[in-house]
Amino acid sequence: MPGDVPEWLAAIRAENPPAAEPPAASTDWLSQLREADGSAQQGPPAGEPPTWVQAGETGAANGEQVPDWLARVRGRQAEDSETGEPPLGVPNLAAPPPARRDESDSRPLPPLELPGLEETDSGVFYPPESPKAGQPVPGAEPPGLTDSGVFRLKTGINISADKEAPMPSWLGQLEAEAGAPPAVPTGLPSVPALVRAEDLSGPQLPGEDFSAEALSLPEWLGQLGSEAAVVEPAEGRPDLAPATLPAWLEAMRPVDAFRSSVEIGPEEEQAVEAAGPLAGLRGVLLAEPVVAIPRMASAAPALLEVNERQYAQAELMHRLVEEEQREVSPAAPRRRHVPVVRWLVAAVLLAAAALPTVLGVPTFPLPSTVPLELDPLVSLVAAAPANRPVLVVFEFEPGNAAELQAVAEPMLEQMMQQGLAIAALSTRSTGALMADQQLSTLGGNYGYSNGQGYVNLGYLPGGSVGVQLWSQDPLAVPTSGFALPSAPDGTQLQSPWQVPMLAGVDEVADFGMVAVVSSSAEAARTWVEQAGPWMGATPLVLVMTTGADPVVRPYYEAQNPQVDGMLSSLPTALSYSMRLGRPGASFSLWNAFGLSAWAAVVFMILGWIPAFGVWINQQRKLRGAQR
Amino acid sequence: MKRVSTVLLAIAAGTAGMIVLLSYFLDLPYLSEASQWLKQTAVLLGAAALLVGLLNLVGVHLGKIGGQEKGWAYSALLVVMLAVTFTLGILFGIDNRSVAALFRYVQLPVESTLIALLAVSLTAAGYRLIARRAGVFNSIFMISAILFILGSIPWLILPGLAEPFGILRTWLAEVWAVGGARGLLLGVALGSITAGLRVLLAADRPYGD
Repeated sequence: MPGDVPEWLAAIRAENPPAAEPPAASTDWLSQLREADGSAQQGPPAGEPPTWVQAGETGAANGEQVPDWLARVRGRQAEDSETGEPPLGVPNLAAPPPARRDESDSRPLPPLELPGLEETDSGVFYPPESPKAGQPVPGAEPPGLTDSGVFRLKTGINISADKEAPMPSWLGQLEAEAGAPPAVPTGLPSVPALVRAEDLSGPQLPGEDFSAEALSLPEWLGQLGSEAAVVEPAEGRPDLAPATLPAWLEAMRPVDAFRSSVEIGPEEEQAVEAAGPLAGLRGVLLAEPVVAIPRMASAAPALLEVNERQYAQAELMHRLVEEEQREVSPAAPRRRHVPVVRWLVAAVLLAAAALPTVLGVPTFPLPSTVPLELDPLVSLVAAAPANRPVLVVFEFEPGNAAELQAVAEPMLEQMMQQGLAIAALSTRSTGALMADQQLSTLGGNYGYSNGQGYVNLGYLPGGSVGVQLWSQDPLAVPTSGFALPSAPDGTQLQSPWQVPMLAGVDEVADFGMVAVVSSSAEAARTWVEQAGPWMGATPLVLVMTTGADPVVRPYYEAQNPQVDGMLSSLPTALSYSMRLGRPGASFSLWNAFGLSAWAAVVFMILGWIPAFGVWINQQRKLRGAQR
Repeated sequence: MKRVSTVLLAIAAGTAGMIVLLSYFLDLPYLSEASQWLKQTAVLLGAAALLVGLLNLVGVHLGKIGGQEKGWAYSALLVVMLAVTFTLGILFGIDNRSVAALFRYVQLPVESTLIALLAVSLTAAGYRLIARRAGVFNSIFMISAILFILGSIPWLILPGLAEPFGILRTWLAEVWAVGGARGLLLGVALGSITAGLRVLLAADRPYGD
């Protein structure tokens, strides 16, 4: 916009008021430039300073009146010349030129990207709002090298071409095409000026002061400059940033412990290359890789982070290796312990059981005394009604079959002698098989068969709850039955309650008697406590092993007994059989039972007498010592 | 959440127990039906638990076989016999002749043999007990056992002693032993009442916390 003045130019105006402006005659170079901008953009001939330089020099030599700012620049140049340092922006011709890289070693630089700027084909960046390349702005100076060797950018900042700065690729190509000295190509896109020529009130001279004090950048370039600010190198140190890795490369590093920071020191302190084409140079990357140079191992790798599991595995591995090296001593032969007493007891008992069975000797006398509970039991069975079946519950495991089958046999024989129908039931999975085995064996002697004389109700699940439910309503609890007989018409019965002999049974009280043959006091108690309340006047009989007898006997020997009959132990069963006049299994076991029991008694006495004698002696010694 | 579930379980268990308990004291038809339903459900759950236990048993032994653990051959034998018995029972029924034969000629002799071995072990244990530590109470225990056996077995020599020993045995069994058994049964009854009340009041939670 006409009339808009950038801030930096306003600052210059403030420092150089219009009153101090040089006369118009001294600014003919500006008109020349304006003419050049309007016409073909061609630089002066090679080797000749520009006209404005010549004019300036001529004017200075002639003692012309110069503006203040030019005087200040010249004064600073004079001071620099005294100190031997070249002025800013002026190449130091006295210093040796820096070594330039071989072009073959050079690599193409990545395309430069400046935020907020647009790059033209010529590699010049423009602000978006500025005119594009190829659209010359009247009064603006073209980019490129000026006659004085100063490269002019669009912002008006002149950068010395001699300064070691990365050269744009397009410029390198131009140099390669044209050769040295580089000629400014014609027809290049013009550089749009930020300030039009008519807005410039002050003269622009080559070598004007671009120091920070005298120059303020435009706002957009100021932001850019702050982002890409170049850190001033320290005194005597090269302008190199410390070696850092980008974040993505840091992330790829496996172990943090190996992280190291490389700080490049002054050139004088850097090692001299000793091998390769760069031998004798300082500040170059060593030809030999760093890893190939022998050096002290860093301490970082020793800092291993080991967790407990890894430590335990390492310890285990260490132990395994140590044990491998150890000689395994031959294990001492383990002294075998021979259970002499147990073998002797087993041999004696086996002989005592086998001798009467095989040889029939010795023959023990039959029991002369009759247990007190036998007579009531016999009477109870004899009083059972013939038109009501008897329920026999088989509550024992196969291991107790030898004893309990022998004990229960005379009672079952009496029932069969009386022609009582028998229904079998069990709360154990093997009970139905036990019942079937005994009833089929005994029933053959009395014309009993399955469905004719006895029926097996099968397995009753549920433990004590099942017993209670079944006792409350036997027909409501489904029992599948065991080896159910066929109906008279030949069809298979589906329920044991379809057997004719159970036709009149609707509840437990309808049975003529309930006998529980049990090897455990717990099962007997369950039937006494859970089924007893539903039995009414039906008598309950317990047939027990000798071991379980004392536990359930209180139910029998009471003022109001819950059990009406008891039968236990082989001698009672033998007495029962003798009463019936039919020697059964108890009779055949009697001699073996007697001899084995005597053998056991002898063993206990043999062990007890000497031990008791020793104990008596110990007690005497203790009493003597106390006296 | 766990606390809420615990409270809900305690309420459910206590309610079920109270329904069954009250059905013994109150003659209410609805209460009796609810009590019956709860008992039948308990029986069904018991049968299901038996099946789950069977599956667990098979899983444990299959794991032993797969891992070739010590005694895996016995596990293999168990699994094979279980499969055979189960298959026969499912296909032909438990009252089939083959299943009955397996029971009669395998299970019955094996379990009877184990009981016979128990007799030998008990006799040897009694000998060791009295031979090594013949204290007062051990002597009383052993004398009682000997007297009880002598009163139950026939006498080959001096058969006249069988009757006094029989009387002694009866006195021991029906006085001392029954007295001890009564106390034991009373203790069991009191313990059962206490355990039931603790469950009803959720002081004990056998169904889990």
